[in-house]
Amino acid sequence: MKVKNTGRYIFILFLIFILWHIASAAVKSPLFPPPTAVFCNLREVFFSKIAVHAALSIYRIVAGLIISVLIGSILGLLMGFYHSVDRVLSPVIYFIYPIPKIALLPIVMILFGLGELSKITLIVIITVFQIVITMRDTVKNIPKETFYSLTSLGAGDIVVFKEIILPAAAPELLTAVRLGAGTAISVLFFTENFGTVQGIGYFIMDAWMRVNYIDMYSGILVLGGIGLILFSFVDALDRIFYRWKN
Amino acid sequence: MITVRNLEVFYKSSRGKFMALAGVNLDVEKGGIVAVIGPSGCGKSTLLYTLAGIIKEFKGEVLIDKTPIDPRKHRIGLVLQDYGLLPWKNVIENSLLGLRVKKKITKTDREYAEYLLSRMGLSGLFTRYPGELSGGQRQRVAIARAFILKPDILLMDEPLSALDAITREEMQDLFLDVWKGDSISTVFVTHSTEEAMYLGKKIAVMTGPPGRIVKTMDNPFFGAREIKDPGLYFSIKSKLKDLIKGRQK
Ligand SMILES: Nc1ncnc2c1ncn2[C@@H]1O[C@H](COP(=O)(O)OP(=O)(O)O)[C@@H](O)[C@H]1O
Ligand SMILES: [Mg+2]
Repeated sequence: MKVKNTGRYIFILFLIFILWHIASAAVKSPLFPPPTAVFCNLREVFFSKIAVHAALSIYRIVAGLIISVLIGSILGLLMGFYHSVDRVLSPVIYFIYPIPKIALLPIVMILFGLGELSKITLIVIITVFQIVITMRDTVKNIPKETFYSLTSLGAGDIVVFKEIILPAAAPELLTAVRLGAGTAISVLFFTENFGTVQGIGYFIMDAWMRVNYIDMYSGILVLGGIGLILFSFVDALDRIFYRWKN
Repeated sequence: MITVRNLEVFYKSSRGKFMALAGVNLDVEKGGIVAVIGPSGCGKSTLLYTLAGIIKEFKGEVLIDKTPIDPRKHRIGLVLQDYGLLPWKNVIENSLLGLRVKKKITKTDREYAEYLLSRMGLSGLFTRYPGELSGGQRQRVAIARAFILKPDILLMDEPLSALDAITREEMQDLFLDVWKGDSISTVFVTHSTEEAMYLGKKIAVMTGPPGRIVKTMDNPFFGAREIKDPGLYFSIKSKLKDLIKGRQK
């Protein structure tokens, strides 16, 4: 099944590249090079020029998501389980969630500097709300009868968290992580254009400035690849841990 | 032994207090089984949840073997109509859950669980998840889990109501068969008169809301599939139906 899946991915990617090739041949512009040219370039410069940028970007995304998941799920689960926590925190969350946090970038940079911390912080404050709300609603939607068998056994809150709340919330958490990963990648691309000379976002914009379109497309391709790897990783976790769902 | 005296339960909401039980009295002797029957909404589940220690605020007395109900002290086996099993645990894990909350699982426990599950016709399904079982199989696991706990009391809330007629009769027989081995004091809630007359040594009729037990009677047809005295059977049955509908004769 795993092999079949990989085959499917390769086949579909192959189709995309063929379409790209046809489109590029039709346009005939240096702004839109054919995939073959981009691949040749990637083979030459990936390790020498791109890999370090890509690695740094992956680090920022993964660190941001991990922190987001930790903070978001702890808050969300407590809000879902304890009505009193929800009553206090919900208004705060609802108020901050819709504020366009990209606009906070200057403040974040002043507070956390120009380095890694501010980039990761921005990813966290943008993705954490989705996770909080998903986790809270998941816990709230557990049928109350599910708790009854444990309550009638005299189980305390810790047992209830371990046996019901965490297992019920975990698969939904992966969904929230998928959404968060997509958001994180776009946010990262944006933040990497400010105050840094490292990261795949910087590499793409820099190539654009240098009018090196082949490099630019190579960077975009790598960015897509990063997304593909992240999503496949989450899917794999889903398949390994949540057999009961399927 | 279960003793319920003048039990009153209220549901509180923003719209005010709703009286769900108004002075319920009920006795289940040691090794007895009382079938509680009544129309939908009369308060049967509320009564059971109070006996299970899920509803903690009530007036009156609820005693198990003469001590006030406490789910941490007493072992309470609870079987619900649905949602009783945890979807992320397979059959064997689900069936041991009750025991695991109470103590450390030993090899003997595991063997007993496997024995009971097999007796319930579940051998070969131990590693399946609830989502991979039929409704009847799920309820077998839920019932097996309650017995594996070796409970002080057994509470069943319409556990067979969602099943088709044939599965249901099979399950009634199976339940009674296992139950007779252990004879745990049991309250079995149902809305079917046939089921009450097959599974109850005593039958308690409840009406409401607010819920009251209007009549408790001995049932000569307990465990009898073949009815020797159809005249008596149908007269009791129609009497039960009248009581449920609130008509007195
Ligand atoms: N959580 C609740 N809040 C308010 N009213 C409730 C709640 N649960 C049940 N009730 C009401 O209490 C009555 C008894 O309910 P229940 O015990 O579930 O009845 P039964 O199990 O006999 O069908 C019903 O009229 C129902 O509407
Ligand atoms: Mg009910």
